[in-house]
Amino acid sequence: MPPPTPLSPPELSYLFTSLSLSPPIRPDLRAATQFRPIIAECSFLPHCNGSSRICMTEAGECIVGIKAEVEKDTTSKYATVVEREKWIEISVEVAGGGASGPGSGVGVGGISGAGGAAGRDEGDGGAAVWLKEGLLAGGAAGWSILDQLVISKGWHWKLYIDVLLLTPTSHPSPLLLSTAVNMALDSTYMPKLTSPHDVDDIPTFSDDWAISVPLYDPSSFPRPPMSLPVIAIGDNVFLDPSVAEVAAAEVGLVVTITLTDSAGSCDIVGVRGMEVGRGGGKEGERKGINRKLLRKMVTACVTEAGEVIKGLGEATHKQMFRA
Amino acid sequence: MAAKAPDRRRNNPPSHGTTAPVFLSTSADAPKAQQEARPPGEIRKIFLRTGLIASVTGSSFLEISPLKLSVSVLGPRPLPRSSTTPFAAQAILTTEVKFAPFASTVRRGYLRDSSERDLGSRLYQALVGAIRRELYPKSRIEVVVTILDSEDEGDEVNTIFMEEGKASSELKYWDVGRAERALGVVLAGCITAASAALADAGIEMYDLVSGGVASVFVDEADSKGKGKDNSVGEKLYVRDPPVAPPGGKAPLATCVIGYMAARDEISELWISGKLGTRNGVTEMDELVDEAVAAARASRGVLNEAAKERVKFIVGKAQATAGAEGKDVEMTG
Repeated sequence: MPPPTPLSPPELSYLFTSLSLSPPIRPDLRAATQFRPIIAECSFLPHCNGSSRICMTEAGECIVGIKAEVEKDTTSKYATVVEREKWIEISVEVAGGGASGPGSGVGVGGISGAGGAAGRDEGDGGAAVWLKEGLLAGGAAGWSILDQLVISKGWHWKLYIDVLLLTPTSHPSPLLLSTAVNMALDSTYMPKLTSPHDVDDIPTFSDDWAISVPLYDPSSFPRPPMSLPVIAIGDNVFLDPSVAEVAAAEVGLVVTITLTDSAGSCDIVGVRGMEVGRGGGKEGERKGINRKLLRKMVTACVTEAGEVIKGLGEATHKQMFRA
Repeated sequence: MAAKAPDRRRNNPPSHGTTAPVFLSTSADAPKAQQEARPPGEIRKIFLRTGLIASVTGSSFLEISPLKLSVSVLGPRPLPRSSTTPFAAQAILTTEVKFAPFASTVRRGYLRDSSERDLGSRLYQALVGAIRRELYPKSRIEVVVTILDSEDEGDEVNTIFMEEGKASSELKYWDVGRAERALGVVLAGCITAASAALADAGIEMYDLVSGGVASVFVDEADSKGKGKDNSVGEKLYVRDPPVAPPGGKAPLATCVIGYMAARDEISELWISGKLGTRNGVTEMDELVDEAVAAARASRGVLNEAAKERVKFIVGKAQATAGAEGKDVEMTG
């Protein structure tokens, strides 16, 4: 099911036409690659290792808290086996009970695709899945966040990333969720280990937060990943689409990228199809993405988004309690 | 059981019973050994049959070496009265992917977990654009995939061995992309088999969607370098990749697509892993091209499977038309 939209078929058709013009006219008169302003705060939850609050027009508001727990390497099948993928747990919760109300819990993030199983037990598992996927893939070339979670022999941090959506009736964009997770990760600090690395005794930590260790070292790369929704209508490509634009779009993607150097260039760490409304077009025109359009959409993300991620990172570091 | 009133809450079996499919025994040659010898540009052999389940509108069974899955298509049938959406101008498609509890090394529960739900929504995305849903208003079409056997993460695959100590230089790459490759092969199989089942159900589509999956690997030495310079290494593209990476190679990314060959359109795209952008998006482009090539290869098998139903209908129509020899209108 496409995200719920209050627009009627004629309205969608009007929107479709204005977005397929050259140059396109967006309802809020933004440029095709322009992002909407956001309000972003971080490090404000006292009980968390990292936290963030993101407020976006239309998409609403969400809070992310990251808590880390010391955990012994668990073994599953045999005594020798460690399942590292379980070291990170992401949950997306919708405030106010979730399942009631239009759009709540169903298709959170726009790409969880409530179409699967009629959205009945969908909840927000979909959003958690792709958020985690981007996080784990973000280090494929020799760096992994999982390596950062190793404390000492036999011990690791277990990271709980809890996303709370405060506006249950809106349809949150993937951008909201991933921006919030990105900022929270960027502001996450772990207490410094005081016991030796190579001993498998219970590790001990310094209680001085002034010498705590950042999860993502602010001076190093890659930075935490971020997922950007991108839609296309005709040959026009739009970044940060609004709910109405998603409803009218022909195709959509969520491109997950990570910043790889200080100049603002990015690597792609994931691309996923995004569910769109196909609301305004004529039937039988475009049913999928051709490769030329795919190239165009991903290029738009890669070239335009570096600056956005960089700016967000700078905002995070400015707000950090240790800055 | 038969004497009781029909149970309205479940999909009842047909009153006349069903017959189990009988496969001719071909188990003489072990399938596992073949994988090693396969060149990177070649996909595994696919077995695809339609119409094995008599009680549903359309069904298919697919086998790609260890992977075995069956797809049932139910409908189009009317929306239930109790549904939250009593009216729909277009058919509502629902997809469901479930691993059988015994399909992987670690037992899976009966409730669908998040990765199964995710596969379901990926499959939905792949199929929804291809079906002519506007021809089936006020109805729903259900696609149910049951995975009977899969090449899963296995023992030494998704795991590290603690006795070896945390020599993390060896262990660093063990988990990257393994699950994605395993799930990617499953998803590509689901897409191909679901298309065949939809064709078998006689549901009108713009084009058949075939699944393709490709992975890109680099030499392990290159990937251990600075990380930024990994683009200099020779890349190895593998279509329909095995879960275990080729010797001495580190995985970079995996791409799964649902591809409509006749329209040259991608209905579903799922890339996971790291792709550099030094030369624009060419790295991604090359990977997508490989996946498209894999999807084109499986399209051949899909076409043959879809023909089965057409042949069946034509044969039936000819039998009833008798000697008149009327032309048969073919749909789908």
